[in-house]
Amino acid sequence: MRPLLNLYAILILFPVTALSQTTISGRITDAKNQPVAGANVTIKDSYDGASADANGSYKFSTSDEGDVIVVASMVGFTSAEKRLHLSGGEVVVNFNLKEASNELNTVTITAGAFEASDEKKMVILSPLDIVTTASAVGDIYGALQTLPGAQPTQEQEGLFVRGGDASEAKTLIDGMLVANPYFSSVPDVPQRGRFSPFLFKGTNFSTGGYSAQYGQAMSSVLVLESEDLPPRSMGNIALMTVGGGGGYTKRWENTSLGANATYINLAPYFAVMKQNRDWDSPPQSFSGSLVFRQKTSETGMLKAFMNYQYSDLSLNYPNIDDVTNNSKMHFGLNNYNIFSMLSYKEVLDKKWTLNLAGSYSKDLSRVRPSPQSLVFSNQLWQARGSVAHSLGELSVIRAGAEVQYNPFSNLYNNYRIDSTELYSAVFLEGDAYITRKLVARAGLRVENSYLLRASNIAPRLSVAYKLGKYDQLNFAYGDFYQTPDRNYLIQTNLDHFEKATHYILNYQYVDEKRTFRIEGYYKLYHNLVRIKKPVSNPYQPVFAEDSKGKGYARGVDVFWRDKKTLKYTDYWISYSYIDAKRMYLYYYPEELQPTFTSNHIVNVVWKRWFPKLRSSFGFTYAYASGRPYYKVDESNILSDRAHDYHNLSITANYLTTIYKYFTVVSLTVGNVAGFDNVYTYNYSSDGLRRNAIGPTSKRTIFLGVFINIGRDDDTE
Amino acid sequence: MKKFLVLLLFITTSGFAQENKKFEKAMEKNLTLLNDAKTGEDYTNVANAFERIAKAETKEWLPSYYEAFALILSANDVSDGTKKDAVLDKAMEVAKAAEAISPDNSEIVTLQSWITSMKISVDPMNRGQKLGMEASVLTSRAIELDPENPRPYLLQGTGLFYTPEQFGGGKDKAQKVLEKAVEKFNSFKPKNKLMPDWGKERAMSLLEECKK
Repeated sequence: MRPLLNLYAILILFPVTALSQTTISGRITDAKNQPVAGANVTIKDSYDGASADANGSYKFSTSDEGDVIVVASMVGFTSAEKRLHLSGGEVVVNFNLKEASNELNTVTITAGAFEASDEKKMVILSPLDIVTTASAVGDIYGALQTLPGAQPTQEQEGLFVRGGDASEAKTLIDGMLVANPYFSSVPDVPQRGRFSPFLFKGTNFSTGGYSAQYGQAMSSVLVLESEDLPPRSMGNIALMTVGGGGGYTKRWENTSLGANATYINLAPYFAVMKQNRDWDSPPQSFSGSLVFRQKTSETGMLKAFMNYQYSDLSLNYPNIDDVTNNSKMHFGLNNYNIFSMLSYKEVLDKKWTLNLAGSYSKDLSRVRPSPQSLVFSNQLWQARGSVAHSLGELSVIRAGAEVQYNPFSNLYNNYRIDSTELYSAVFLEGDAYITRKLVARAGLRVENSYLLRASNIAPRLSVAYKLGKYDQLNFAYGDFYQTPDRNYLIQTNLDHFEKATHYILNYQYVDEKRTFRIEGYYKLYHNLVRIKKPVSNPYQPVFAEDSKGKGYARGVDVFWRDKKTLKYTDYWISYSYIDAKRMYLYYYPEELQPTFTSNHIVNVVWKRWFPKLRSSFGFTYAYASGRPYYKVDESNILSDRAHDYHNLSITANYLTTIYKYFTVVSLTVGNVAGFDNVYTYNYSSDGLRRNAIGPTSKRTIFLGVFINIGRDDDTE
Repeated sequence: MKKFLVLLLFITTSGFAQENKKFEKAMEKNLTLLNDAKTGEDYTNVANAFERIAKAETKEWLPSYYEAFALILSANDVSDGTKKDAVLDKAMEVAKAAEAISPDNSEIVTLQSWITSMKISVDPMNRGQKLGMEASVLTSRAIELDPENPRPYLLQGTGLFYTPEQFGGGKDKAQKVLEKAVEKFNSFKPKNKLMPDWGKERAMSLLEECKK
């Protein structure tokens, strides 16, 4: 019994008996030898430790003995460990902590890119900015047109970026190409984008030099990232002068399902506001969408999205070829559009990110420029898979592949063309952080087109160097290929991708409240398609001649945004200078400035919040120097310029509650100052008469009431 | 042999009792420091002390709970948005670690809601709508998990107090909720002296403000 009792005594006393005390002290500093006040120093697996004071010094005693690990940690720093042998007395242990990577000390690749996100703080535009920009009226593309590099082409839709036409800019949602991102084109009547900005949590608009992940765009990519799970179930109702809609999203633990519908009809609005177009049947559209989200694990997300849209309209155009000017040309359009996609994202093992996505879309347009009847049908099946693997703290390597299967048919009265394009691509890209201040992104993209019977290899390179806490320099270079318009790929011998080479040099200063950015670029075009002289009927198929078109664009984009100087005020100013010429299609027999480029563009966007009035007011002013217009005069086709463009739009938003629901009342007036704008001219085929093309109405007015219906059971 | 087994059991349980006492003692000491803390530095230091306990006691949720709590209070002193975000992100990380040890815990969910609403203050224009909703969802969940816990009502009342009437807030609404909070505080008895027991004074003083 006795020996056992002794054993008991030893065992029971062991954990609490202080055999000897060791005092550990030292200083915690950062890379610049500055004290790290508040750092936590501790012996691993014990309670013993201390915090560093304002001088970075700490001191504590411990009764631990033998081999221990001392750990120093601090928010924003990488923890450090040191092994020690304790045997009483005093020990000095100093730590030099390395700052963890953050937005201030780590360079990011920014050449060409305008990123908007609500997750990062220092972004140039946030999603909210898109909806509060006066001239945008809730249209994503309208807001992007206030950024430098994008052209405000008012008589047609699309992003015209740095001397490129609309076909050179592509829109992607969660990696899937949107084949028809705008409502179907109508001559001289610009169309809006199909998707609401509220569907997306991130917007990345690149005006050049983008990653090897993206192809088939010679000028620009707009990468939209859709929202994740909504925080709770909620509904919304929109009442607008042009229509109305509503939706409801139900949230379960890891799942959400939402449905939205919108009906737009401009007839009542057109009845009140005088229009400069002779509408026969004003535009109407119906949109319906379903959004499904499933959180499959802590890091996994499955998303499904389906959008259906129907729209129709008809109007009359003056027949410029009729000398008596008494006849009209009728134009009608019915469009059906489906966009659907499924995507899955998962992080495996913290180091691997897997992205898989598939999509089906169909666009069917019946166009009736009477007495003709045309039907365009375009289907797109696509699949994409990519993996990213992180190496070390910041470096990443990405690889992926995508396939697009695109059957299409065009019916020109009784003449029908059917064909199918099959496009495939693979890419490999790495972000190598040489230091936190210097990063190089090198990538390679290989593409193949079935109809073109050709392949290409596109190298991309981007290097960014951080100069100070808030500013950095960025250089980018790359080859960007694009398959010529599929309609030129039938009955031709084309065998070259159209190609643009970008060189970009960018300086950027971004702090929490201010952004300054200046970017110079030089862009070279090769192998642009030239077409045979079209017959006088513009609705006949056109045939490609060769791939000998070429051109260039060079210029400077400047952007300044300031949320600091004026209280409750946020404004930005952008300026673009561009010199662009190109020889392509039929209308540009030699290198000429395209009709869609203005040499000088200025945008001023101003917003102020008035807390007492619970309102925000804003205006946008846009200026663009006159663009060339196409004149049927063999000697100087594109030598004349239309007048300069001015537009001042204002917007007011009033926040209130209706019943108990949060409500926004929004009013926007476009061209409030009533500038008389002429964008371009349409000439008769003999070149003797012309029509000025201006806005569809002198001023525009939009009034909307948006009600959010949340589950308001918090207070009751 | 039988005796030996009994003894072994005795030894090990005594060992646990010793360990437990050490844990309780350390917690009590730091809870006193937490109560006495005034400056951001005080709160950082006490957060560090709780972190040390949390790292050693991986099965206890309270050290992480109080670490997150002290971090939230330390963030009040931080004016730089990036730093404030970093402290609050750490608080959330710690609160999630506590939740992993003790899931469906109303007190922890309450902290998460508080952290979320603190994050709004860094960039109210862009974060307000989304995080505000997330915070209110978390408060509702905390109430659901334990309707007798007064603290989620305090958060809810505070939120309403600082939200203008036009946006569904206001003193009148806040008063109703805060009265409920005070009522719950009056009948609330922590299970032991280490359990969360804060907020009563704040609730009462805010309620006074509402009545003015």
